Amino acid sequence: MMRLIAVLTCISIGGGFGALAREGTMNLMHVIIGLPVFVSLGIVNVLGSFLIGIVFGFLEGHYRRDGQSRLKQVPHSKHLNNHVKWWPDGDPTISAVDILRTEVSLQTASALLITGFLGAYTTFSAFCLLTVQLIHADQIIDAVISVVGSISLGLLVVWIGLHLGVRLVPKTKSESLAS
Amino acid sequence: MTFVAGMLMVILGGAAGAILRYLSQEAGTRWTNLPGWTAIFAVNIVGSFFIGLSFGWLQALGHLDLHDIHLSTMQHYQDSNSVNLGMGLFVTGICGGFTTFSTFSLDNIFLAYTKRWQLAFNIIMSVLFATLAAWGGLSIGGTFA
Repeated sequence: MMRLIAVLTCISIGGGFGALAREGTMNLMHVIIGLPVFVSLGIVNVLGSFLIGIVFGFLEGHYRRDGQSRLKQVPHSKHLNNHVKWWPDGDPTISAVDILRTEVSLQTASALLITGFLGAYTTFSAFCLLTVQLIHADQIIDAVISVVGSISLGLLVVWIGLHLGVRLVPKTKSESLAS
Repeated sequence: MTFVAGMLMVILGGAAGAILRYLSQEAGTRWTNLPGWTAIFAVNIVGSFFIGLSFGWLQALGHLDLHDIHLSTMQHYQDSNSVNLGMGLFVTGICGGFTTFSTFSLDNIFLAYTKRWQLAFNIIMSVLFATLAAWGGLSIGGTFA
């Protein structure tokens, strides 16, 4: 119960700041710089996707020690094989206390940064509402650029982000590599 | 002061939206056997319906054009009225914070490596249904005020 309250607190703090940061970015891009709304929202969504790739790659590589990470599906997580001793199958030698400690760190950090901040920073609903408005205003080309561009660039940058994220994981296997 | 009130609405709404999204994901993994990405798929469609509904209702309330591209930005909160504060709370905050693009992209990259058909389904159906939901919500919301 205490864990749930802590997780929900982290999500609400992250979510509040995420939404505020989105508002700030939109304001900067659209009102101050003068980019069209669909470009501004596209930048927010693509930037958020890039950051979630980095954060997810780093947190899963650094904190998940039970061998259950989704990151294993991604080929470039193989970078971690000779880099982190508990990758990819978990580390039976780690004490139960350390397992618990890393689980709590992973849960807290991902609640704050992934579910909270980046989840709320990016948005799908405003993106779809904007598509409806662009179609209604006969700006079909803008609508297509917005949809195709956001989704394809989102996929590309999350892939690049995961690449960078796993490379940020601190090395713990240097002794065994030397031998 | 009115600017601060607008920003507070965005923060409160974003926090509530993110918590609702987390609870939806948890409910999905606990009570169904569907793959993990389907929770965000459903969240994005439901959130898009409600953004249309609340945006349409608020635009009609302020006697504004339903299709006016008015993404609530900070400058709107300068002239505070209930319509602008409502936009901050419901549109930017709750619906914007509830739905997510980053987790959608993250789910898609895993599907791209393992389950191509589900990737195609997720992308095409998310865009199609969420856009239709936003349109439907907008049409219904516009008749409220």
